[in-house]
Amino acid sequence: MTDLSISGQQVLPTPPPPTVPEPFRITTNAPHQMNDASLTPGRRKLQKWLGRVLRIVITDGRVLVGFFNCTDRDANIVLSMCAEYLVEGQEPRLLGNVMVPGKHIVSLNIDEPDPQSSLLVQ
Amino acid sequence: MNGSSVAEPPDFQAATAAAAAAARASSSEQDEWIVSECGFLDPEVQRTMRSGSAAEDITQYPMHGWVDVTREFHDACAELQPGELAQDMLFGLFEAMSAIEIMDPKMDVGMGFDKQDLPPPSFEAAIATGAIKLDDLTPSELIGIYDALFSCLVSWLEGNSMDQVLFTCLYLHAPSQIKDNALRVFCTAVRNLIVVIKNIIAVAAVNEEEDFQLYGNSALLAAEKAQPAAVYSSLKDVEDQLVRKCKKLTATEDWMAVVHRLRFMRHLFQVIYHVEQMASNDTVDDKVDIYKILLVASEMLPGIRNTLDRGTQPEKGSEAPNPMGFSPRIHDRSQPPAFPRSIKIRDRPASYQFLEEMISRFKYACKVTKYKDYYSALNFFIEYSKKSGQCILSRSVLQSLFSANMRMAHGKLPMKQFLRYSVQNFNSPPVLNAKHAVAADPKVQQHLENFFRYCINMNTFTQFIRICGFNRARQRDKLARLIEIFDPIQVDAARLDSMMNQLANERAMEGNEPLATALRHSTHFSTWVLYNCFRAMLIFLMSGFELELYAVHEFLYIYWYPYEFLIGFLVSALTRTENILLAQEEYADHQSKIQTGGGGASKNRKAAKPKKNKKQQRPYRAEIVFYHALLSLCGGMYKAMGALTKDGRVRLPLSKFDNEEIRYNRRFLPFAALTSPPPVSYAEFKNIREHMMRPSVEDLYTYAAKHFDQARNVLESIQNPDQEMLDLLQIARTNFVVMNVLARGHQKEVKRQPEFDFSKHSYFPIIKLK
Repeated sequence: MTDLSISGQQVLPTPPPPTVPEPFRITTNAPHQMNDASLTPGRRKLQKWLGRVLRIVITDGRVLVGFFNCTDRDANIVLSMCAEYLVEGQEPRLLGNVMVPGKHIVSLNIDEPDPQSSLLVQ
Repeated sequence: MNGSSVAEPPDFQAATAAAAAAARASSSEQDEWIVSECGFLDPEVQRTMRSGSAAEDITQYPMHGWVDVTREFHDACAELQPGELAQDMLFGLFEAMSAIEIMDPKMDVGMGFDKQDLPPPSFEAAIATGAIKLDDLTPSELIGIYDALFSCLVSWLEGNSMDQVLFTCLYLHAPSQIKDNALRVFCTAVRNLIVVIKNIIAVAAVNEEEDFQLYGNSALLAAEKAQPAAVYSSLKDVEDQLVRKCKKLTATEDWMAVVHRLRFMRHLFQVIYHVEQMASNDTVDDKVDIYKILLVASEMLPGIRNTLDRGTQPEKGSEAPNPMGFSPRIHDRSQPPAFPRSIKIRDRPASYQFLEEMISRFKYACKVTKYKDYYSALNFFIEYSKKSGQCILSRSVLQSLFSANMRMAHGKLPMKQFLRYSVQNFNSPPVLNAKHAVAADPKVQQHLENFFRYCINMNTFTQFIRICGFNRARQRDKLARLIEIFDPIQVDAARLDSMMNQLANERAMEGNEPLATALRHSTHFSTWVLYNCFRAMLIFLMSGFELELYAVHEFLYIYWYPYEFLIGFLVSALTRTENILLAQEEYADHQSKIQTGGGGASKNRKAAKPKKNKKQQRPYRAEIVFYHALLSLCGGMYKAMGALTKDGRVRLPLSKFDNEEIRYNRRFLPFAALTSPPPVSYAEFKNIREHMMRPSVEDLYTYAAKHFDQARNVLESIQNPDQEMLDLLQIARTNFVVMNVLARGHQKEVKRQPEFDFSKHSYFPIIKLK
């Protein structure tokens, strides 16, 4: 947790710039990390997606839609308020919190206004 | 959170400042995120925002449109370090723990679904397609359905959800639509049985979520009103009909197998329904002899088990417990998401086995009516929990029988009277004796009244009995809390004792000798309270072995505490009680002799009463002897652990991660709240241990062997030992040998930790050298 404890004093508006220890243990969308320039591009993307709605197709054909809560290196994903569709468009079943192991993920979609905007991050 | 700046968390200020600075510094960058834009103002706001109307309904998404990010996402994840997380600011351990793992067969009920699958048939659909018959069922079909329903019932009692086991049977959804009499009546009986069992368990309230799913699909149950009172007679009618039918047939065996099942159901239902009535009503016909009905029911079972093969059998590879009438996945999608998922319905032989054992547990529970005082009732509950603790219905039935018995057997005896009677029975304080002159003294009676009312209000004693009704794993933390609330009762009991003594002295000063004798008192009430407290402590401590909570290197102080203190306290409490009883008898004898000398016939009758007690002169002898055996076993284990530790045969935690004092304090935490016995600090323990460990390893092994030898002697001296004592005897014998072998320097070079085998007894292991 020491990596996380960036106190108010350290992030003063004036330089010195915040020294962020590497490696990160947790990337989060908490306010104090939102504009952290030292984050790698991938981490920034994940940071941006956190809290937004994600659609996951898994190996047995089911579709899971829920708020993107957490992921790790193996793309194990935790969704909250998840809805499970056996067939998309039909009545879903509400599951609450689920963890989808990365190895069962077929495809991922994010709910986004402009398909191009995700490219801008790079 | 628009309040004063004082309320703002420092993090918030820092974040706003940082954001502002960042915005100034890099406004040219396109993908810069202004904090306010993201809505991450503070967790509270965030929470409110997300629980807003839009977020509440995940099915409304996508708001914009799905953009495929599979590649990008995986690439981004690959940048994370092993163990590193990217997580939402609101995501924490709690959310992580409650998540269902998708594609885990135990948790994910949606797994294994096939798009081509038809939806599981409902009752109506099954009738429409002709999948289930409503009339003219063959005996073999009936037997198949009955047996499958019993399996479902057993699976339900084992903690599965009602919907996922019982209500997979479509016939249960609308029994009134069944035309076949035998099937309709049986299904109605099952539905009523469900209601009655639920009531018993709810009233007894010794269930935990892992024992029993109290809540199921009540909509299905409510569809037809329960009329448990009518079940017995309608079962009987159908039985008679079938028996008459059999008389006209030549091959009756199949039909008789159906009749036997109906009859078994009738008896089982009668017992369970009667127990429920006892628990919830005061006015119950107590002419119904549960025990006899149970006997009849258990006699039916062998016949039923012999005819299992006459019914239709479940199809291989199918989840349905019977080919006709069941729709296994019908409720899967209506279950709440965090439900235990993987349901395995018990097979038929195992289910009848369960029912047979349950009936013998009920029979055993019936014995509780014999125990009319707290001491023996508590003993019974502790014993019952050891033997029958795994079945929620058996535990609940015992609670119901006990509380019903308390009300009825003693003429609606309230708990207060029960406790009063129990103390009198336990160590017979003279003030409680109605024959004594003080019985009419309002002041004394007021004190007694206050004390017992306090016992009831604190709920300590009733709670102890109830705790024994919970499943074994849950008893421990409940006992920890119970022990803490013993303290105020102890204080009150001690106060009462001293008050009685004070009054006795006053009366003696006044020269009122009979009153003074009646009040003269040793520590009756506090002994009684302390004794019960010690028992709770001992069970608490030892239950850690049963639940496998202790590491091997902790055994030393766990066995040390009962050896050094607890069992000694118990023995002395019981010995003191016996001595008091003896002294009272002698006094009563003495009095009666004086009175006979005086020669009054009426006085003679008065003296006759205490003589009765003389027959059970040493009522606690057996228990004291048993505690002596436990004491030696604890001593043996304590010294054995000391020797093994000194010998370097016990794996100790790395000192870097170790703090024995913290562990010690945690293990004895509930005892810290008590004034008596006073808590023993870690420092004291360390001193005692140091002293104990001073002799050579060989000597220590020899000391341990001596303790085990003592235990063996005590146990061998017991006449008519029960199985537990025989097991303990074997443990003592084996460990005695092992200790002697070690004392002679066997395997001196091999510093391997021995194995501690708790399979014989849950509190004491057999020490095994590998």
